[in-house]
Amino acid sequence: MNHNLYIKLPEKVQQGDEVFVRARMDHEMESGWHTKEEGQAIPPNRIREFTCVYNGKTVFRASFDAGASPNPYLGFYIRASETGSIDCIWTTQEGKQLKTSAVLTVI
Amino acid sequence: MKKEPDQLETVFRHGTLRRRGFLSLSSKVLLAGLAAVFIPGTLKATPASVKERIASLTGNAELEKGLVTVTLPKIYHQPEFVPIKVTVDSPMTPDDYVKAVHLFAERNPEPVVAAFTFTPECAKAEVITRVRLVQSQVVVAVAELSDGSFYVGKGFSKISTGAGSCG
Repeated sequence: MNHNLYIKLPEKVQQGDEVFVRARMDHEMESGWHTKEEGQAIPPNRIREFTCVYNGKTVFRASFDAGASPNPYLGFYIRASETGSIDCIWTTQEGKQLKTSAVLTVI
Repeated sequence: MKKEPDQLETVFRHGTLRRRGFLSLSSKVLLAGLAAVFIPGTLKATPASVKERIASLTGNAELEKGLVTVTLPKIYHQPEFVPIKVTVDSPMTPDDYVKAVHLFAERNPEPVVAAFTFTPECAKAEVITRVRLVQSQVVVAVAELSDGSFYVGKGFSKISTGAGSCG
């Protein structure tokens, strides 16, 4: 499965605005609740953690467990202070980090 | 001509016997299948076990009501992708902000869904995500505020699956 990463931001914001950040990833997020036809349990395979870094500072974090959906999606708000990069880091079960970033333009 | 009903009877009996045999066999197979499917389901969470988990999380602190709003669709057809919005009424200033929000599903095999950590740089204590709900159930959100108090909010969603399910 291709683990594509997505991030969506408004094009231009003003200083002090509430910016709605949307982040998504393509991942099966196997819960470990299912069994194969032969009766063996399918091992869990999940995204463990999500971190959002704005201008080098961690702003928002999320940790996922069995109840999180496949293709995890998050929408949250940050306060725009200055033009800078927003990095979204997804940590897999094995500790591998997948990163995507976008630039937030503040007028 | 007298034999005809007898033959018919025997055939009928054979038929019933076969049917009985088939039924008993199929029921055994079905039971075995159900047992295989529901082995992981035996770890099912209950509202009481969720309460215990919350108590261990908060250190038996008192849970206050209000501030936390959980928005779920009243009725939904995709149990794997139920959209959820959790809002905590907070000014989000460095003195008074929401530290974390924990989500629990009361009747999933494993109750923990996700946890979110906020900072004062978040403009609002609001998060949107998607959860797995294996059946109609209550989702509990516990918010931890910067002053150490805990607030709880609940939401309910009815899960309807299958062809032609209109609720």
